[in-house]
Amino acid sequence: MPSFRTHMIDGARTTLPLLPGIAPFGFIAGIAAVDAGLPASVAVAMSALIFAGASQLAAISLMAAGAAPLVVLATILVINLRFAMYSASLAPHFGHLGALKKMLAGYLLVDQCYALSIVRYGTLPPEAKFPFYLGVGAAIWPAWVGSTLAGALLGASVPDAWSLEFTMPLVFLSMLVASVRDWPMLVAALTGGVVTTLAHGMPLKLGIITGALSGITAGVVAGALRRRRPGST
Amino acid sequence: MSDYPVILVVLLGGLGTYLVRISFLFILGNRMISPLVENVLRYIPPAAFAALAVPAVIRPEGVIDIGADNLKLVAAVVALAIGIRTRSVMWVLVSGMVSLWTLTWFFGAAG
Repeated sequence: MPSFRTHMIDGARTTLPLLPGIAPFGFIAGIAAVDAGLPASVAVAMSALIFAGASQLAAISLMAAGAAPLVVLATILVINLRFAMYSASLAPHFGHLGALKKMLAGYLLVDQCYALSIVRYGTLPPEAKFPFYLGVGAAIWPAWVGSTLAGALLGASVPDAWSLEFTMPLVFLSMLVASVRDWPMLVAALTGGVVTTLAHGMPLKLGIITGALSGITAGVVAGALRRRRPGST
Repeated sequence: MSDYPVILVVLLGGLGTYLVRISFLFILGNRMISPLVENVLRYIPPAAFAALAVPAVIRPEGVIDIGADNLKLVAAVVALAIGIRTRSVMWVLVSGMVSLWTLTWFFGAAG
């Protein structure tokens, strides 16, 4: 019978092809932090404590723009509320675990950990689910934190002419492409993008939160309308 | 940023994010989430990622610029098209950066 360790190695091995996609994100998070005037230690602390790239990048640019700390915190939370969805989806699989294991699973819960695990949970035996997930996390965590450190240390020596700041919207763009799977989601994305762009001048830098909440609302409405008209896609 | 409470923001942002992550693991147990809640949560990723991505390319210098002279917008459209076709993070990064470098090389550092 395969052991805990075997399942964990299986999880880590499944994650390896994704690491070349994760490392540039971390690198960019490190560069962005140093560019904004934060010390490398804070850049690494962000990756270890918040451990969620999109919200880290948003927080860095908001802090650099002088947004109030409460607005930065609220923006981080709105962006990371999606983890509640993953948390709910994983809960039935982790229901039997003890509190410590649940706390560890929660710490490692990022987009890739969730996505890689949930597609395998249809076929994995129940006792393999947690070790597999742990293996995915054990591969992602050092890649994320390590690449942030590398970005924070090397970022200052990258010439401005390389326009590396443009990698930040590209990172968001790639996450956006991966997240749109149906028409109501496209409505949510278009609304979120347009409203945030128009809300740029809003006081207290509340533009991102306003845009994201508008997009979510528009998506819910579009989804409800679609269900009332069966047959449409 | 010397007097900005960066450490506090990082600590509280990390704590808040952690509480979101463990929320349903501890609340739900073996039960399923209500479809109503899930129907709201599913729109967070597209809405939030678009809110982060779009303004950065439509108003890179702070003002709305949807002309072809906004090189970042042109490069982002190329990257978006390639991203939709390949579904690959790496291709979005590579195509976007190469497009921007090529455009800047041809048209100068306008964007």
